[in-house]
Amino acid sequence: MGYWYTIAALTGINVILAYSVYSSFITGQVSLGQAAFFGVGAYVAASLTTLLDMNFFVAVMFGGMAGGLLSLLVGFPTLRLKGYHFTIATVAFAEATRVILHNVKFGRPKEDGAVGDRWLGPDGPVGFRHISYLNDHNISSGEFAVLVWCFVLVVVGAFIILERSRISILMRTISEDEVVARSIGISVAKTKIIAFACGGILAGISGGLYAHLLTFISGNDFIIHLSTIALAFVVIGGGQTLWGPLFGAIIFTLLPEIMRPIQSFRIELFGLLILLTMLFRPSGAISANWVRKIRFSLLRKQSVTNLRSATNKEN
Amino acid sequence: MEFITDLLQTILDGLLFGSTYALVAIGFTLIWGLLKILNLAHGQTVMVGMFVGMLSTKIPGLPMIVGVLMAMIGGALVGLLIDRICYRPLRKSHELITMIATLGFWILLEEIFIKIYFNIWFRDYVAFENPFDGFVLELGPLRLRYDYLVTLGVSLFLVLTLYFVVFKTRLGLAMRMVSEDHDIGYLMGVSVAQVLTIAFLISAAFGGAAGYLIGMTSNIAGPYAGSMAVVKGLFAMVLGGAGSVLGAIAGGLTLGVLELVGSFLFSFSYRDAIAMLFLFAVLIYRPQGLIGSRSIERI
Amino acid sequence: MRIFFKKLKFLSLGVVLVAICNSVMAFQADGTITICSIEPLTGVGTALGAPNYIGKKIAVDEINASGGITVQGKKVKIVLVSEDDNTKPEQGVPLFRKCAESAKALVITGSQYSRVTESMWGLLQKKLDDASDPGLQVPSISFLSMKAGITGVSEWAFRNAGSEPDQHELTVSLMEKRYGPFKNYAGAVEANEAHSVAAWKAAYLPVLDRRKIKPVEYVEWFETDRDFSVQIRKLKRAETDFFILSSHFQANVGAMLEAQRQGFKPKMVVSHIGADAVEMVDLGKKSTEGIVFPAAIHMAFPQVKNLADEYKKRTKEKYMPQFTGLGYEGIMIVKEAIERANITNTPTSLAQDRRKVRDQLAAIKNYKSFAGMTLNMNANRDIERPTYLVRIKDGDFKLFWTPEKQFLF
Repeated sequence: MGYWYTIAALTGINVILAYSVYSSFITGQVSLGQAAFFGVGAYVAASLTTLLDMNFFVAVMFGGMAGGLLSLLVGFPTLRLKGYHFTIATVAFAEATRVILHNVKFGRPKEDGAVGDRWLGPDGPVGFRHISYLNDHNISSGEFAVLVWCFVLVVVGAFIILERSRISILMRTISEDEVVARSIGISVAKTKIIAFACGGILAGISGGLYAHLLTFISGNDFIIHLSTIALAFVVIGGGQTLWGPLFGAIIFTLLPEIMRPIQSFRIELFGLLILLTMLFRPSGAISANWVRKIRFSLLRKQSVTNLRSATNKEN
Repeated sequence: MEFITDLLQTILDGLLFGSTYALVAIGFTLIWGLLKILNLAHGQTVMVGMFVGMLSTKIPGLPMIVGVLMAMIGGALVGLLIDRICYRPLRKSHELITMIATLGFWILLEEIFIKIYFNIWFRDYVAFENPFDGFVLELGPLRLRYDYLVTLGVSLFLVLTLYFVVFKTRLGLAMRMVSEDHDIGYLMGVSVAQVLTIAFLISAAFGGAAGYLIGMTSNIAGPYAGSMAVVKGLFAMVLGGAGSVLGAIAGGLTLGVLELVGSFLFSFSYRDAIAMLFLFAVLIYRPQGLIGSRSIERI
Repeated sequence: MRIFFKKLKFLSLGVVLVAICNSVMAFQADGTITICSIEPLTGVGTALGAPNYIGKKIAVDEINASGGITVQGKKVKIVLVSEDDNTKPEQGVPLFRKCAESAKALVITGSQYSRVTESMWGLLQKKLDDASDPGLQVPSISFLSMKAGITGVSEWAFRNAGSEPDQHELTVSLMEKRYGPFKNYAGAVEANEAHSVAAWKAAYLPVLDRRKIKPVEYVEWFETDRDFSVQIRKLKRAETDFFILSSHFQANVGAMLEAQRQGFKPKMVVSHIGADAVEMVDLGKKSTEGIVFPAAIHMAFPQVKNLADEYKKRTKEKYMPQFTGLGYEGIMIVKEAIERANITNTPTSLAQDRRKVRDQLAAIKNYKSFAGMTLNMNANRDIERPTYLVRIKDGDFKLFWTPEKQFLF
């Protein structure tokens, strides 16, 4: 079962990452730079638990904050940028961050260890080894999966609340037409920044969890590919409702595991699936209409039941 | 003194090598300017061009021009596929959807070629004959690689041909019209769909040629060339100014120079970080690129 | 369209259930031994993983052809479960768990790429008999993952690849003795590749430090670079005569071709095992002539001939890199450890069996490899083995130096 616990944990991490893209996607900003915040979150959280023996939960939250702070650094200057320019700017920033993470070195020497393994902390291109918090504190793979999904549930819950609130309508208006949004009094800049920062925080949290699952990270883990896949989660799952990223991340993490029998064609099928979704169902698997219909049919059943019980009571 | 010579040599090499980036960037920019989409699958035209070019060099006695032409045709075929699969059906959709479709196509094609390379040759890198290797033109203390000069020559020829087509033919006129506004094109009786397909073909042919030249000058062909082309080509295009062919050329040459001079002068590990932050700064302070003109959007 | 999606949903649900059932069921049928093999069969590490896997497969096929491994007096066949980690740690980590927990492997062999192996081994119990550590308790042995010190992660982790610091000390000192003295040592490192960087720091630099040598030039590049003119020019200006290439074949070829162009011909060029690839001669042609690198096994050994022939038959390749030999040998080592461990091989005895095998792996002493050399497992769980030198001559990888016969040409 440990295998499936690990897959479950990875799925959860991917869900949070998908939501980090979704967060700024709602305001019309397509970020392909989440890998930067993910990576920074990973390094910060791992450093705190490995070098300072900090509590895991606190360390991950710090990782999230680091991601959020970095996203502010990106978000403010890029406010003016639209469409593809914004996306390319996020890519440029993410690549720069990756190179810096790849080369950064800090920490302290380790006494026990074979030749070449005498450092605790990120060691440049050699990577960041011994992120062993989970094993050191006797946290099993199942417990970790539950931990990750607690985070996921909080995030999903937050987005459910967001979706029901007025704020989400404001955000979607910005994505539809910024000019109109500004003219009806929405503070476009503030909303975009906050949305982007939330995305940064989520990516940072996701990265912190990832680092501990993998016990070893290096700059090469945070390449553009990661951001692209995260975007694919949202676009294919559906960017119109909050359920889309959840569905997209789950399907895309589980599908390769299930397709293992035809594993040599996994990646081709992934590309094909992206293509087919765009051609035949561009709203994503879960579209706003679909959600509305489900909710309506659920409500209808509810109201029919209410009506029946009311009529029965009368009799 | 040595330093100056080396610096000049580096700049020269950068300009010559940058011409390949320019070709790739032109491909990107044509599609961006005319179709307003970011064609992430463009890199695959480079990869296919490299593949076809590599095969063409294995045919004994085949003149290089034919090889380049074959590479361009190979690239153009890929461009046709991209047009038919990713663009045409999604013409009415949001630009982002088309971009993601090209992303899917990119992933699909790259994997297919990785399998092709591995199944035929059991490895990821195959030799690409470079008949000009080893020959050098000496200009004082500076040495110009023959194959780089050939690359520059081919690129120059293609660019001039493009210039001629765009400014001196009716097709070019139609393209310029369509790049302003698709509706104007319709109003003027231009078959917009045809023009756009031709744009795809031209852009892909340029990609194919770039693939041939990159493969030839590095003596290696491989399936990962497409991904590298996308990153570099995009960078070059944005640097020079998206939507403008002149900008793509300027961007490509500048990128080539920046890369080499960068590693000549600065710490290497952070080379990419410096380049990326430079791009970031350009996007923020001069989003129209080095060459492009500012379009004011005031409401 | 909606009906289509509904059907798709049910279908996918069914597929998920079947997949879960399949993997939860034990692979271990009665009367077989399961060995898992995780490596990069796709992705950037394919050149390392594929030949190695073929070596393992040949070994397993050979063992099974003669009946299998001797357990409790009977012959038991090996089931080799192959998993592809696509050179990605996030694939390797769940696969490692799967092999340990679902497939119930006795031993897990893999991976080849250091980055993936490190993440996988992070799942293992760090110290033996540590009840507070929930890490996996499965012996795992890698037949490459050259990054220095990697087995330090866990006492269940072993490596059969040879020690890089020793290999390069030997290489450099032999070259100095034969072709020296050298004046200007310079190094080129693949700056974004963990193994090359680690090799420079843990192997090459100490070699130079011991001799109180400072490199006259140090350049870096990326394996994906296309233009090496700046770096080669610097090396040439520094009048390098001993050139250390801590880089893999992709960049090596590009760099040496550029060196040929610029007329940079250092007296000696050495590299690490990343140079053990047929691309060096196929793509590099004359430019890579003369490069020396250390090897653990070479196909020129008479005892390796059968393996090489089988490899050539299966892959139609004319050169067999050392990774294949290491894979073959590795399986034979595992077989020896299993046979010595006196396991019972019942579904309930798996934990004890794993521990017994692990202890036997740790105790390997004076093991005679199929290729002829004697192997010993050291305290860091790295196999100590003699190093051989290979030199590219006339477009081929010739065995250059052996401890017994010294220089062969």
